[in-house]
Parts: sequence; structure tokens; C-alpha cells
Amino acid sequence: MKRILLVVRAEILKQQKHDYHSPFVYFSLLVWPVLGFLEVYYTYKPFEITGYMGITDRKELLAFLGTGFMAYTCFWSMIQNAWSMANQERTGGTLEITFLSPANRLAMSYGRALGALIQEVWMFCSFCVFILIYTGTLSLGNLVMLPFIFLLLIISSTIWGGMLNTVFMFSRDASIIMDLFDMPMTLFSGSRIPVRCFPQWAKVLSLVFPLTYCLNIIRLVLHIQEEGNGWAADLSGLAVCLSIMAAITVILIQKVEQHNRENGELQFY
Amino acid sequence: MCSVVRDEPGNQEEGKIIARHLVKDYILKEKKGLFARGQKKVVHAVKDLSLEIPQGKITGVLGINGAGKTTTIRMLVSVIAPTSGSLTMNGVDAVKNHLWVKERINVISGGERNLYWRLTAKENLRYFGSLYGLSGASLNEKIADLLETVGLEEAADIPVERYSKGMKQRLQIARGLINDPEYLFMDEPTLGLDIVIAKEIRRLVQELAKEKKKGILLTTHYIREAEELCDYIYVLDKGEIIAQGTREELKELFMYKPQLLIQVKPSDDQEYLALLKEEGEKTADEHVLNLLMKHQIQVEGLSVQEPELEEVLMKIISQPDRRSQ
Repeated sequence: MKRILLVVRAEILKQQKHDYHSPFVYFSLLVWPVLGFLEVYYTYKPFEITGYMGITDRKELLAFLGTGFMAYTCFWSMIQNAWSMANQERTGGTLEITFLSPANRLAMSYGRALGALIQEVWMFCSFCVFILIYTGTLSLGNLVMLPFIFLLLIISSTIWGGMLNTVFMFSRDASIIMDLFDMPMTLFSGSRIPVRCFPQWAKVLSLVFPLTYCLNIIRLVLHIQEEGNGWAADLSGLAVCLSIMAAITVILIQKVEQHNRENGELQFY
Repeated sequence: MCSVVRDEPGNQEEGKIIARHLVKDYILKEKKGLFARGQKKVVHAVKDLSLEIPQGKITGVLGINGAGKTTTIRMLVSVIAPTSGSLTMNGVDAVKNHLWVKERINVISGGERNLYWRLTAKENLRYFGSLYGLSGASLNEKIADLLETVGLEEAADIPVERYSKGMKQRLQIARGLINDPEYLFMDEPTLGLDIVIAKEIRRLVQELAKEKKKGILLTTHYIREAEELCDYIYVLDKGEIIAQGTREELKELFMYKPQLLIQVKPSDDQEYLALLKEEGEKTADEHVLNLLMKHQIQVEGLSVQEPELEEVLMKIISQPDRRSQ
């Protein structure tokens, strides 16, 4: 277990040192999520609020979009970081060198996803505090729940990011998978549009994404827009979803190693 | 630490890596158009290769580009699996127990890849050390020792992107030693380095084998380097061993002598050529020099020219009876 934690820690530190090496990076970290969020918010602003989606005023809309954007960005940054690092590692030849070590492959995969930790912490803190203050829902009860929400997001997005990161190791061309998963997740998980607006088939599809459950729980806990089937059902759904993803990751890692041992493709870039 | 079941190794298998009849075939799909169905083509990268790497010795693999040196190394270090054949390390099946093998080996490649350029030497070594389960004070101590060994203490906190080629190569060596491997695979470690640094690296390689008792496999396409360092040499061409032996045995097989190039004044050219014709073409170098002195022909320049590896290999290939299997 100690060795597994060491590998996860080493991967996180490596990426932090590799990616967060200049004040400009921190500046961009501060600016782009705000710009991204404003873009989403002002896309919806011209439309009249009718209460159709369970959102009755502008503050609720802002809180809905804010939580959706924050949680989605946590998931996205885990994948984006892992994908960009995997590409750089292929080019630099370090990907095969890491596979030359006996390090636990699962720990490597999750550690690479967790390389976006600083970004996640920043996103979470700034958006949560902003939403709670702006919507006037800042209370002791809410503040106490924040660490729980943070943990929920980190665990879910790491397992999601770890799974996709493992897919990227199959081939340098596997990034198409990111698009195949990312766009439907943005659309169907309720990050921008409430799941209740979708037809039945899309509601079923939304159950595939852990982000759907995370958002239901976060909004329920923060009393923003209560969707879903209650926190117990959503938490159970999330646990099942994450367990399946972790199992898929374990199987994929074995396949990646086997595939590479046959074809030696980790060295291609 | 991985546990393995030993297949009752004999004493002969202890302390060495033994490869028997290793074959590596790659299946390539050749496509003639974007949507055309690819045709499978089998590429025989390594054919029936048998070799041994004993601890405390330097084993050389000599071959030109494309001879199969790198594929051989990647198979021996268990990054890729052989298509057929057997591979054991200290008597343990290295194909089945590849994670166990990876605890005990490391690879040092020539060139500037395989390092994180934005990280410092210390940060690189700390990361790679963690992959082998090293941490805390023992890892810091190990890093300090290695940086001293390769002479990078002063540059320890500078990002690798600011290093010269030689410094990067020295850091590669430190990275390759971070897990204190029993066997070290060096893939053209002096490629593209200047004479001084290449010499320094050769000294370090010798020290690792003779003093630290590591089993080293060195691939190179410099004949002189193989001769200087290796206790036993395998010559590889198109994926198969075409010659093998100790350096003394191979010297005879290579049948080459470095050529002495003598430059004389243009005005003495004709006289010099006439003298050589008189004495015969196979005149020994020292005799030629004596002749020049005797006839007072002034020597303007002297240099030694090594034969190209390709030339030597062609000689071996053209003598089927001398090929060793």
C-alpha cells in the first residue's frame, strides 16, 4: 500500500512541477474558468425564466450553472491533464521508461489523473464560495458539507480520469475516445441542462456518467436545484458506477500492458 | 516486491540472464488507402537469438542501425515479450515474471529523450526513485550519491532543458542506477557525445561492471568501444547473431587493422608512390615510416583511420564458414 501511495504522490508532484512552473500558469488558472463560466451564463441569460426546468430566478440559474460548470471542469481537467501528459510522455520517451519500472500501473493511472489537483482545489473553492455567497445560501450547514462534496468530486473525477487515461495508453490515436465521452457527458449529465428536460432514452444515458450523480448530490446538499432520487439513491448509483469504472480500468491496464508487450507501441509518438 | 516461483534453477543459471532462441515478430498492417483493408505483414525483428549476460561482466551487442539491437534490449528487459524462445534471469522465467524482472534491471539509452526536461535532475531522480518504492532520507541519500557519481552535484537543481547533451546523458546514467539494478542495459550510451564525455562514460561503465558487479549489456556500433569495454561480444545483423566471441577472438574474426594515413608534400608524391610500388602494397606501417625517413621524404600529417562497422560486417557475412551460430 505504501508503494502505491508513493507512486500516486510521485505522479501528482511530477505533473505539478511539470505544468505549474510559471506565474502565467497560475494566472491562467484564475482567469479561464471565470471566462468559461461567464460564457455559459450569458448564453442562457437572454432567455426568459419560466420555471419550466425548476429554475425560478436568475440567482437559481447562476447557482445551477455554477455548480454544473465547476463539477464538469473538475472531471474535464482530470482527463485533459492526463491526456496532455500522456502525449508529452510519448514524445519524450518517458512513457515506456515508466512502464519499465515495476510501479503499480493503477496507481500510475490515477496519479496522472490527479495531476490536476491544484486546478481542482482552486475551481472548487472559488466557485463554491462564490455560489454560496451570491445565492445567499452560505450557512454553517452548507460550509460543513463542503469537504464532503470536495471528496465526492475528487474521488469520482479521479476514477473517471484514471479510466480514460488508461485508454490513452493503448494508442497515440486514442484521444478520439475523449471526444466520444466528453461531449455526451457535458450534454446529458445535467451540467448545463437539467436531466429532467431530456427524453427517456437520454435520461437512461445520463446514468452512465458519474458526473450526473455528483451533480444531483451537490445541488441537493447545497439546496440549489433538487433533482434526482434523493441522496441515498444517488450515492448508491454513484458507488455502482464508480465500481464498474474501476473494474474496467483494472482490466484495461492488463490489456494495455499485454498489448504493448506484443507490439511495443508505447514508444510510438 | 513481487514474489515468483523458481523453476529449480541450476547453479549455471544463477547470476546471469540467459536467452535461448529468442524470436520477435511484429505484425504490421500495410494499407494502400485510407479505407482499404490492411494486409498483414510479418516482420522478423529478431531471429533465433541466444545469449548470456553474466553479472560483473560487460556483454556487447554490436550491429549497424536496424540490426535488431534495440528490439533485443526491449525483449531482455521485458518491455516487449518474445514471440518464442525462453528468457531467464537468475533462473527465474523472465517472460512470466516480468514485474519481478523490472525490479532488478534498468535501461540507459543514448540520446536526449527519457527524461522530464522541465524538472531538475533531483526532481527527475526523485520521481523515478518513487516508482521503485524508494522514499524519504534513503532516497535523498541515493540521489546525492548518484549525482556525485555522475558529476552533476552543481547542476542538481537546474531544469534538464538547460543541460548540455553530455549532462543529459550523465543524468540518464544516474536514472538507470536509481534502483541499484543487478543488470543494466545500455543502448548506445555514447551516441553523439564528444570524445571526453564518451571516455568518461566508458570509464563509469567499466567501474559498474568490475567494482559494483553489475551485469551489463552494451549495444554500440563503434567497434573500438566494444573492444575496449566488452568481455564478450555478439555481432548482430538483420536480427540474428552472425558472430560471437571474446574481444580477442573477434579481433581475429574482424580481420581489420586500423589504417595509418600518411600525408606527404605534393612534390614528393611521385617518389613516395614509386617507393611503395617497389616495396609491395602490404608493407608494414613501421617499414613505410623507416623508408620515408631513409629517403628524406617529409611527413606532413599522420592519422589513424578505423574501418566502418558496415565494412567489417560485410567481411564477416561474406565468409559463411566463419559465421558463428
